[in-house]
Amino acid sequence: MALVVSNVVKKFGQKTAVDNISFKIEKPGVFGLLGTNGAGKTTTIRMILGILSKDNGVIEWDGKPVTRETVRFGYLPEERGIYPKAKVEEQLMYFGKLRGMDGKAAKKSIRYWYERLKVEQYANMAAEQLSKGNQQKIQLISAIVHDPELIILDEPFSGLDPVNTDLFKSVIYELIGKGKYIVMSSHQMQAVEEYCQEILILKNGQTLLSGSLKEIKRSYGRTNLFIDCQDDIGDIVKEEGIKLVAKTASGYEFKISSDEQAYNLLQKMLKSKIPLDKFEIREPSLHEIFVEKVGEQK
Amino acid sequence: MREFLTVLGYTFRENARKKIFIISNIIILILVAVVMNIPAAIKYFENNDKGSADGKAQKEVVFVVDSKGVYKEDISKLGQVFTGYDFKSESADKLGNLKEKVKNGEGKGLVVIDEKGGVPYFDYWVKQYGSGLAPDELSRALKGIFTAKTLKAANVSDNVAAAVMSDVSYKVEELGKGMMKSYMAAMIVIVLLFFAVYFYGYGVSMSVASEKTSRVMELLITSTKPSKIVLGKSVAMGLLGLCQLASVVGIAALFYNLTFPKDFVMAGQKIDFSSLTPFAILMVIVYFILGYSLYAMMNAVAGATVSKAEDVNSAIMPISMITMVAFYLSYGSVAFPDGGVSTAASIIPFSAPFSMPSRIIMTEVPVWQIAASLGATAITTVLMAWISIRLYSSAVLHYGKRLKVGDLVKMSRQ
Repeated sequence: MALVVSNVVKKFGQKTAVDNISFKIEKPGVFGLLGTNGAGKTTTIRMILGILSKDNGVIEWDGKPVTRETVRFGYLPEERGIYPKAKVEEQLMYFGKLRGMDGKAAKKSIRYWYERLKVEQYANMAAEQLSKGNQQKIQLISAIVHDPELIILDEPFSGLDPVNTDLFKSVIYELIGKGKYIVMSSHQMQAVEEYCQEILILKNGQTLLSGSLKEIKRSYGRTNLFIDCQDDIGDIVKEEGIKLVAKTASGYEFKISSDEQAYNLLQKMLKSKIPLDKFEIREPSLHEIFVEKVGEQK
Repeated sequence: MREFLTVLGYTFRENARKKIFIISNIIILILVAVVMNIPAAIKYFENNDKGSADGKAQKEVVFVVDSKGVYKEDISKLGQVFTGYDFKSESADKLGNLKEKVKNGEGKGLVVIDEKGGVPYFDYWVKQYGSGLAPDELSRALKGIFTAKTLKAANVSDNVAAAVMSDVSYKVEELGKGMMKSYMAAMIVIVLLFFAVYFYGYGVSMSVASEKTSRVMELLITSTKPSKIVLGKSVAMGLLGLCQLASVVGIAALFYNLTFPKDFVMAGQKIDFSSLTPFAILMVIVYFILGYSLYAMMNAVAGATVSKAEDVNSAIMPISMITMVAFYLSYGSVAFPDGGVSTAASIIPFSAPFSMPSRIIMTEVPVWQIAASLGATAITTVLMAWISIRLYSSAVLHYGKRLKVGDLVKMSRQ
């Protein structure tokens, strides 16, 4: 099974919202669709779901166009997609049944996710009485209640506190474990970095970067150096010609041109007996790649 | 089919449970009960009033000035005709004073009798037109007394005089459908139809627009076919409307049988529902279903064109206009059920749901006209459903400024 999006175009009047984008998800896991606000992520998602018609290109699941008939999909929209005045359980049952479940199966699945997301106590409350985070949980249940094969999560972590973010993450891991294909759009690079093998970065509808996250990072090389120490190391660093990017509460962040440069610095520091808590050479974070890629085009 | 029923069931339950629906329903039923009991109340008080009039009730005073002596002592005969009034003879020189009294309410009227060319005539003052004795009744009574007096003066025998004086009695019987009797029934039916079609159609557009506002729409149309959503929703609201209509009619029928005085007359017409034959009732229901469906389909599109529920009113304006025109045309159908305009209105699909039922109640409608009307309305409804399903799916995801008719046409071509 695979989701194939190839050469998809969407125009709104004169404006091209999505310009010839292509990607593939060939095995279960999370695909990250990244981009600034208005980059075309939601438009792409809507085209995959068939809510919006595309002007050109192909979107297929297992060689067939993606429709309600060819694949069971679940969708968590970015904006609140729940009936504010209806009771939580009733609307979840409604969506379960609309997607072909019988009452018993829907109830069983809802019970399971209630427990998993710790929201049993809200079953008989109107959705609008719930906090933003709890509403997001109900929305997630409504997206996955019918055990879909393809799950599309548009900004799943928006409005969640750290505890609930972790809870959501664990659910996403569970879904990966069950062999689901997940397309996720998010601004939270850290979360994407955690479980997206493949990503695509969009800007103004165009593909800036796409492919395996590991390879993208490797192609950048290990350009970041992080040092945590109590002393002032400004002078030694300057001698080595290393550029300081930021001084944070936890330490110094540098940009290096090669590993040798870092090793030389380390030797000097040890020779000068500067006490050292942490010394790390690493690839740039997705956050940095994103900011650099999107920023450089401005 | 299953998804259709799911949408239907959910929409019906959610709307039937809304506080606003329950409260308005209770208020409407109470109002219907009150209205149905008003005639009984009027009868009750009328009877009480009569009871006191027979006793020692104060008679109203009417001043009569007959300075030329046209009637002389015969003027007292007025008191025999109008038993509730006391006719007081006064002299002409008090005229100003008497007018003042009438104005203050001390007297109910002032009659000044004169004579022109041997025939009596009178000036009549009252506080307000319509209060006290009606002038034509007074005139008839005065004519009667004058005729009797004249005949007597000409030595005509009493029985001849009585024969001349008697009114020619008459009786009217309608051989076709009783126009007058049917009038009330037809009016009630069109008002009910209008409110049901209008308000439940409005309910459909509100429901669509609010789903759009809350973005539930995106989930709905990724869950099932748009046609099932539109149809399920519309049928649910229609059923809700039928239930409400049935409860209103039920309560009205209950009180009609329990407390409604059978001989009650309103504006000179007996209230009578005998013209609501089983066929007429069946047609009312059929036309409610057709009319409601037709308007609900249009309302669903209107609801889909806006982004916020607040904009629904302006979006449904064109539909409201059509409903209004159709409603007034049906008024015409009640007044002139066999006229050309009424016939046309009862066949044109948008006005047929209001005009045809009222014509069926009012007159004998040729079968071909009923068939043409049903056919035209049904076909238009199906066509409208088809268009609206097409438009709905593209319009529901349009956010931002309200869609114009031109945009809709463009969308439907895609």
